[in-house]
Amino acid sequence: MGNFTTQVHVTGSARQFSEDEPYLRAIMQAVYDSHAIVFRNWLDAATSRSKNNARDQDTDWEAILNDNIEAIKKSDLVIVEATQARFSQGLQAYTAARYKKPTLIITRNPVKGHFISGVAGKLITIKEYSTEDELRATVAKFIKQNTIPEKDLRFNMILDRRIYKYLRDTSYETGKNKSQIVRELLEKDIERRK
Amino acid sequence: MIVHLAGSLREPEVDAAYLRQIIEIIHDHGAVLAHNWLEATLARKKQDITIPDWTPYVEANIDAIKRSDVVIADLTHYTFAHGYIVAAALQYKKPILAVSRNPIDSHTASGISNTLFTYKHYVGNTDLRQIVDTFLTKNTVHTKDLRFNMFLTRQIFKYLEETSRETGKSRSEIIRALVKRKAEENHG
Repeated sequence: MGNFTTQVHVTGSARQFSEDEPYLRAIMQAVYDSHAIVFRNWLDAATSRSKNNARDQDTDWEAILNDNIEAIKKSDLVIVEATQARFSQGLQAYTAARYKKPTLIITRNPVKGHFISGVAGKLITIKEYSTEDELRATVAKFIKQNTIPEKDLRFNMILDRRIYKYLRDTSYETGKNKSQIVRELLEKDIERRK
Repeated sequence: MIVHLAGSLREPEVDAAYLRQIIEIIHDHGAVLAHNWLEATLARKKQDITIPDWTPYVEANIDAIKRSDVVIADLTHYTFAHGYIVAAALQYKKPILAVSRNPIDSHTASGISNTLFTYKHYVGNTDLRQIVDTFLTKNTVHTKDLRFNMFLTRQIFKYLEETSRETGKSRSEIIRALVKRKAEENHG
């Protein structure tokens, strides 16, 4: 495996925290084992809150929600542990797809016959698991499939005469090479779509 | 006005009664539902029929949100589906009324600071009626066209005059087309 800087946002429910915590830790470990980075490691803070019996009503939910949305925007991939199938997981799954992030929804409950099974698509993958080993393997496979290497990628393409002529003329006029012109065009399009 | 109603039927009879009341208030306001799913879902629940493929239902919900002027969601059971639908409604910039019999003050939904999102806790029929009534009155979008007056700078006036002459379109038409294009760009 190469040198990757893939950032992964991991989210889950704190509702049944003691039940879900080992699985959430297994996900985060699988992310690190795949040479990726957990964008916002909230698990230790949640563990400490749970140990100290912190009350939910004392929590700043606006800050947590905004941090989660920001983490989705800045991450390359999103993993949603949705066994509890709560509001927050639905909201974050939709948001991840909206920002075109490949998203893995994993759950210990069967999804067939439930709303959650209908959200799968080009960007959303849904998998059921029952053991930590199975969970780790699913996460590792998802990251491997969706990792973008850190270094630049070689890309070859066929140009028609018209495009080639345009690139050649623009390169001559601007002093930029043809690849640079194409990259700038694509970057502008990426900005426009944001 | 078109309203999309979202909710769940975990306790079918109880939930359906509240959802029916919301529908009644919507109709009292002369508004219509984008997608009337309640009775069909209730019948399915009673006959214990499961849906093999939820994809068309999820798509129908998103489509209903896009077509609606406002969204009302009963978050009492606070499910994945509710979060998904609220996020979609916010993306499409629809005013949302979220109501719940269980307070959500200590949950993620209480952290939504978007001005389009209104949350109200209800305990029974009387306060539910009042909450939905107030929301619909405040957010009514009239179906007929609305008159709108504005001041124009000399430069804009001149531009509109020229464009009107060139294209044969009225000035209002030019402004409406501009605003419509911008709105479509923003909504993707």
